[in-house]
Amino acid sequence: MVMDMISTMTTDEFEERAMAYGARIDGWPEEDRAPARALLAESAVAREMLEEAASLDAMLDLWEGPQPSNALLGRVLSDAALVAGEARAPVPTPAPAREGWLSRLFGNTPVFRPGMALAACLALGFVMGTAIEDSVIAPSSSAGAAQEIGVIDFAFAMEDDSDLLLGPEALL
Amino acid sequence: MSTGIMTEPVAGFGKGWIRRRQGGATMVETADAASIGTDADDDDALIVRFAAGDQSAARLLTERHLGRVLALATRMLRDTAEAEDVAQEAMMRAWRNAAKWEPGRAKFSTWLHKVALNLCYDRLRKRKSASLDDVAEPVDDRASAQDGLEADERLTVLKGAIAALPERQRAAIQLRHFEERGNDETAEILGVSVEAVESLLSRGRRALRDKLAGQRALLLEE
Repeated sequence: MVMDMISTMTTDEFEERAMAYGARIDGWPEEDRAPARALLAESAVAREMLEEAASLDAMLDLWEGPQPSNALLGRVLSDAALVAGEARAPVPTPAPAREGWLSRLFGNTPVFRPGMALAACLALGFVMGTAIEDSVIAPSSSAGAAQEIGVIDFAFAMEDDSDLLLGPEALL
Repeated sequence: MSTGIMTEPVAGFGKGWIRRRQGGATMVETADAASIGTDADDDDALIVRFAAGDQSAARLLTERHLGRVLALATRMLRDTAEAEDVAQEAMMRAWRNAAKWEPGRAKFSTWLHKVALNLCYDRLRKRKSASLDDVAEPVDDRASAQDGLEADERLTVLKGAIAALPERQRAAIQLRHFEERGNDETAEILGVSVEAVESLLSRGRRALRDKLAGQRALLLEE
């Protein structure tokens, strides 16, 4: 006895597939094709359903996809060339830093850089502190020292003026 | 019955392009879909060649895929200029990711359509938020003018009906009906299960059938 291995399909199931996948049974899920064709051979209702699906397919096919214009093709290929060019371009490397006298003195090792900066600050602070102390306590006769005294006098004068402007109460 | 799908080269776009032409208005079964020549292995080889600096590979990939990506975007957005922007951006992402492409891991056309579809969703979302701010929706002047010149009322009716579908139903019909992709690939592009694809298709096509029922004589020139 030969068993019929083709499973059956109801008209409801047939309609569901026809609605989803259209009239081209070759495009239906593979397991549904044989039962669908078997039903189609014996059912006028199924044939009508397939005609209905075919009508919808035909309506949809009125809308043909657009053809890409040459302008769009040109833009896409220009993009490709741009990206390829970027990929080929050598990666820019930073120019080597100019070697200053400090570097020549202490070397370029990063470990020494904070130390060098600290030493420079200390030296600058020492020089400035000494200069200001000298100018206030023991001004020299040089022109630079005279200028510094002038600045200090002006500061005191401003203090006096503020007294005048605000009145004696301001000092209380 | 077979209507026989004819193919012909598309002028001005290299011999890689073919255009479908269908004979009868009503078809029950057609011949197998035309071979578009998008073999996944070839795509893998081409994207690797492009990453290695071969510009001719870029042209071949473009000829193979740009038309379908543009069709997807056009049917989703119904705006020629926006669809071209999406197609260009999707291809640009392919070029930029070429060096990272792993052959055999995914199908290039699936990946590309997924990218294009997400770009379409982004634009549709922006349109929705713009329309909430009372900004007029973009009108495809070129398409409208063309429709007017061709006096093709049928196409206008059809486009309107498809545009009224929810986004995912529209995308499912595009991928399954117009591109003849399988359920698995359609599901992967849409990011849903195979069962969901069937449901989206069924609901979408039923809605179209109902919407177009009154226009059947016009559309099919009966």
